Amino acid sequence: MEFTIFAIMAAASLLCAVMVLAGQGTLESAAWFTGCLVAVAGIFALQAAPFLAVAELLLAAVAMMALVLSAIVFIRKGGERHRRRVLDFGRVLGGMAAAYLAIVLVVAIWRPPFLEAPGSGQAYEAPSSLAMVLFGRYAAAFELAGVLLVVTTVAAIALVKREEARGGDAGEGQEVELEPPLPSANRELRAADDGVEGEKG
Amino acid sequence: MVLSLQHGLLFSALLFAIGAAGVVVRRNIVVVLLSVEMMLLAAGAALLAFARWTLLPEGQWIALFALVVMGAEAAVGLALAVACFRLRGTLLANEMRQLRE
Repeated sequence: MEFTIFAIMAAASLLCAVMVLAGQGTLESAAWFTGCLVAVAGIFALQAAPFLAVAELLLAAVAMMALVLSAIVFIRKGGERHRRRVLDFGRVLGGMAAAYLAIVLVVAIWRPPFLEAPGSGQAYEAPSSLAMVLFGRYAAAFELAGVLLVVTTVAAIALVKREEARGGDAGEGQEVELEPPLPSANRELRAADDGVEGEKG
Repeated sequence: MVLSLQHGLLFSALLFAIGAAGVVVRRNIVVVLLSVEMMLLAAGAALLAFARWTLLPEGQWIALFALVVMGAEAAVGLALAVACFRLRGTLLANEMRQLRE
């Protein structure tokens, strides 16, 4: 029973992964990748990691949100023109190399008799075991992961922020101004300072 | 048939190979990014398979960290893709050739 569910989930996930390769454009590939994430969440649950399965589903939801945003950014500006497929030597060779990697890995892994799972894994499957690891032994690493996420968020926003000097598209919306444009600000500040100095003496 | 370690590892290996093929074959940089995410996912699945069979929860922690890195890298990668698209007007890797010759 467990093996049947695993086989279905694995087949669905691999099918979605192949469709990511075969999909045209950003939107279709990202949609198939979201499906792959959901199927892999099922695999995670089968591997006795329910917390990770739920975290994976959350990631899939975020991936769908990123998909919608990417559709807004790329396709709205008309940049997603579908080019014709180019089949050059480098890509064929790369595909063959990836197939060779798959063959090598399968041959290395597939050696019967297969091991059976030791124990029922009930104590392992409970989230408390992961919690003891996360917040007990590796609490510092957990906090560092949080710092990593904060830094990444700031970096992503800084990368997407438009420079005011570029001009860009007028109707794109408000850009975040982190620093005022220098000459006019200095002029205003200088005028204010002169006013104050004039009043004083 | 009983679910065993090799089945989980086999799935992980195939997913990793498909991700590697995606990185090499596709020209669209967003799809290349998604293929890298797929490779990270496969690594997490392999970690979970091993953790299940040795009953060590540290494997789950490493897989969670791999998910965190996956999300962080996706954020920065997408931001870079948006910036590249604004500058170059295209998303295809073989059309961003300003560094050539």
